[in-house]
Amino acid sequence: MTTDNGKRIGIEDAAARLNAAIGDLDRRRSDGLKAVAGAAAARAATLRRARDHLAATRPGDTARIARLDAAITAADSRRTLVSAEAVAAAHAAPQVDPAAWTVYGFVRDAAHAGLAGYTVSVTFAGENKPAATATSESDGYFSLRVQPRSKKKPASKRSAAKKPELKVNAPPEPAAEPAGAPPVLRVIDPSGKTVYEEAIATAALGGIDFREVVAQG
Amino acid sequence: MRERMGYGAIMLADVIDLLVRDNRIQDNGPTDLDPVCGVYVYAGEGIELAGNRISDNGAISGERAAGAAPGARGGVYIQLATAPTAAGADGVTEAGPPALQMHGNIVVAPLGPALQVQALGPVAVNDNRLASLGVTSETLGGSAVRIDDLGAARDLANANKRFYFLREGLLRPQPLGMWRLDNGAVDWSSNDVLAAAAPRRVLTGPVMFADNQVLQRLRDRASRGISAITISSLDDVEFADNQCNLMAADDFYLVQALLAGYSVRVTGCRFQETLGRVIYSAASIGQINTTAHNHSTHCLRAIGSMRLIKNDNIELVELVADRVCERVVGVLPAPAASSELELLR
Repeated sequence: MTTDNGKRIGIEDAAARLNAAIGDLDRRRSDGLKAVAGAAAARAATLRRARDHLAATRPGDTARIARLDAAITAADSRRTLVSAEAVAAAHAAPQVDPAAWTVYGFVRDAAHAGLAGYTVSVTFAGENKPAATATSESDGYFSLRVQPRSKKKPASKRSAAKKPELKVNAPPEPAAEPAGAPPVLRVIDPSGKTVYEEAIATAALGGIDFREVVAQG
Repeated sequence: MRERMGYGAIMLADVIDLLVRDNRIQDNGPTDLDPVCGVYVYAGEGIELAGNRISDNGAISGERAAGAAPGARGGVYIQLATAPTAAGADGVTEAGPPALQMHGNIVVAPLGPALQVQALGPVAVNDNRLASLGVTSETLGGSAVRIDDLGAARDLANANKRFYFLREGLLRPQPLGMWRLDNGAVDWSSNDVLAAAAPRRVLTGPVMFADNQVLQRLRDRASRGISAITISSLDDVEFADNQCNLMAADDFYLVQALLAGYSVRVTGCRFQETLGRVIYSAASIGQINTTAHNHSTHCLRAIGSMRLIKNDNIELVELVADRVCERVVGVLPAPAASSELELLR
């Protein structure tokens, strides 16, 4: 952090350290979510033992048994939700690529379990062949990196008004005269049935979109 | 294993509805070189700490902190605080109480943070005196107060939930399920179409840190730290009306308060540091960010990728060294990605 006199720090060094501290927040969040899921599982197990003991020794105490059942269900529900979130947080984040659009996410069932072998694709309007295709992994994860087909009209850049007291960074505005419909994200199950289709209006160079698709049935 | 255990006056492994009120928790532990806490909880659900005086746990040895044994130490150290949940018909829902509520406490930690907590759920820390009288190499980020909330804003139910994306200006709500205006009516039928694809369940994590006095005193010469206060959440972070004080000798920190949230508000605070011992008094990072009406010794850095309001702050160094804060913007530059997106059609 310091140079030879012990009392200097380069701007780049300081920036790297501060950015590393911010980057570390994702690792902490991922580890924390795993720990919460583990604690919820442990709590559910403890509550189950207490419930079984109560049911065996005082079967007539239905009110307390019902309360324990509700607590067990709540702990199980939280573990399921937090586990799914922990899996998402544990995957390395796609890096920003100014020359491509990235769409990534998960295909899951209604109980938040990952579904493998689903085909995820992005197709530009007016084209039959997908611009990018991926197959979901064992935990349902997929990632697509989409290159533009041709030179597009750039979104209007924000005015560079130098107002020291007020800075506005609005989301990118649509092109004034869009050439056509936005690209379509499609998910097909292993039997060939389309389970999800969406035109993503935010598709943009340098952009990263996330989707969690819940397959039905 | 060390990161899952702690010693202290109150030690709890797994607890529900913990209430610690109006106690004196003082003078426990033979030396501050041992990892000692006033209150240590590994996993707690619905914790409330109110009106306690928690101080001098781990007698000050006078030795350099470099010789301190590793492990959980500090005034209040909570590995996992979660908000109670209930199982609804369509999944888990919040039951109402917060993960942690802490108010009216006096916490003085001889070595280590006054408060360290990782939470999933709402956190409210109000009206406390939180003092850390020394740091170890383990606690250089958030050395006096560290709050990491694992929750996320409801807006982000189906979005990139990453601090990396927050830093890059890409943490945005996805336009799924948004109603549309249709022929004079508000039509939310698109929600039905998208419901299968967009899970709407999210455990929130708003953090309210208000009306506190925080002190970081550094007792060893030449400590090199990142931040004295770190608060992070992908939900809302409110940091209001606090008096934050960093007393350094030959020590140097990059920033006194590092505040990262999907939405963040830093208002009405006084950030005071030994002159020349930090670069920024506070750095706030959010997609939407209001940093206003603060007084600080050093520069205030605020980044809001979707919307930023930074006004009516007084930075003392700007009064004595003209435009110095503009020259250190590079230590925490604004993200470039958000302003350069080119839509694909």
